[in-house]
Amino acid sequence: MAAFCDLNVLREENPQHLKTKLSMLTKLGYENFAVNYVVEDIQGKAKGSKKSKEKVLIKCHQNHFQQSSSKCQNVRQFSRFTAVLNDSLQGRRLHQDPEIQKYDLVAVQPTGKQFFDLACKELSVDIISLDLTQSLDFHFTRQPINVAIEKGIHFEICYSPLVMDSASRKKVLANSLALIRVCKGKNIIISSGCQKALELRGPYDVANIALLTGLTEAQTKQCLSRNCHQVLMHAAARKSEKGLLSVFPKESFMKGQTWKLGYVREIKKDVLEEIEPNDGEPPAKKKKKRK
Amino acid sequence: MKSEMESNGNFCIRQTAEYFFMKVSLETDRPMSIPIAMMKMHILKALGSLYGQVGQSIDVSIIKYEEASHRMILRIPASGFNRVWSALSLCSSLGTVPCVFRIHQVSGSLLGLSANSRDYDFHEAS
Repeated sequence: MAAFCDLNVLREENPQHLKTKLSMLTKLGYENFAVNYVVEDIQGKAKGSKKSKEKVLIKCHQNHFQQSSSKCQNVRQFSRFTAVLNDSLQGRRLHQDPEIQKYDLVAVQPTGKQFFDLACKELSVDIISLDLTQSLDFHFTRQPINVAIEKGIHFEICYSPLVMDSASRKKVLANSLALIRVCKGKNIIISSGCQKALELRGPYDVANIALLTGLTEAQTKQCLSRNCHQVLMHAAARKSEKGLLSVFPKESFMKGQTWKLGYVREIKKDVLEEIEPNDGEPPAKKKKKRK
Repeated sequence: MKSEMESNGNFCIRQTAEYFFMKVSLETDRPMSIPIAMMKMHILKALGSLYGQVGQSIDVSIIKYEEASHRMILRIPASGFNRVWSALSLCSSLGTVPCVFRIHQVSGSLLGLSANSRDYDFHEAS
């Protein structure tokens, strides 16, 4: 499971810019990426011309597919919504707004201690993305972070400010060291969040950069692949609320798994008999007869 | 370094690598000509900006350089390998020109750089 993900590709007004970013990502070896839509104030901007823009994105993505070689056959694109939390009412709006729930991933960016606690404990989001380039006015504490980890919420570290300039590099490194010390390297994802395609780095480079933040080598790889997959699964589970059902075509079963198909056939027979009650008998009796 | 020829003809070295080799190319947003001495200076500058004087003391050498495409092979002592890698990947400009060092391959031996198993396309080769 080494499909690398970048779950924070900032959305651009110009689809051409986004396209260059996405093609650079596939060239570097990423397979899943989420186009991020950041909103400062949910009520003002959440509705409106969003739908049409989403369509544009998907279109340019498909065009990109045709040009690319067989290397990026498995590329998947997701949509992500990030809300800046500076009002406790906004959390509720996040849950209630059906437009927001249409996005694949929902993230929040808390701006203070109380909003961070709120996001960890009460909101059902997938990602908590702090702005690590500024000095945070609170310390990370174990208790809310442990609650978040138990709920499957992941914390995001963006690496583009590390690349950009040395002033924000210091801040980001210090903040992410503090964060990782508290959550012990669990539930961290690393993503780009970059403005230009030149700021993107390959997955192995990013894993190497993440060594600076005190993670082990295994953890850095997990931050880019396994944890991101967990975020995607968490998002899918959040939407369906109760469980997951996946449907495969019959041909996709491996050789050792074909015994499962036998059951499928038996169930089908039962179902057919139940559907076509020819002689008015209840289906339970029929089963007994056959035995 | 202890090395031996095994019975099946494989040649193996049983030791941690002394040097690591790295295939790197420099991408800039406008065409530039950079001679090899300048390139070495830029690498040292990148090392210095992240790790200071200790970083600059790492003995990085360019063993092959293609000026037209800015591709090169670096030889780095194993002790400073991670530091050189992160310094190169965090470097984002040469003076005022935005640039990026793309690390294509990393190997414990020079022979390892001759082919790339990640890019290898079995359908094309057959």
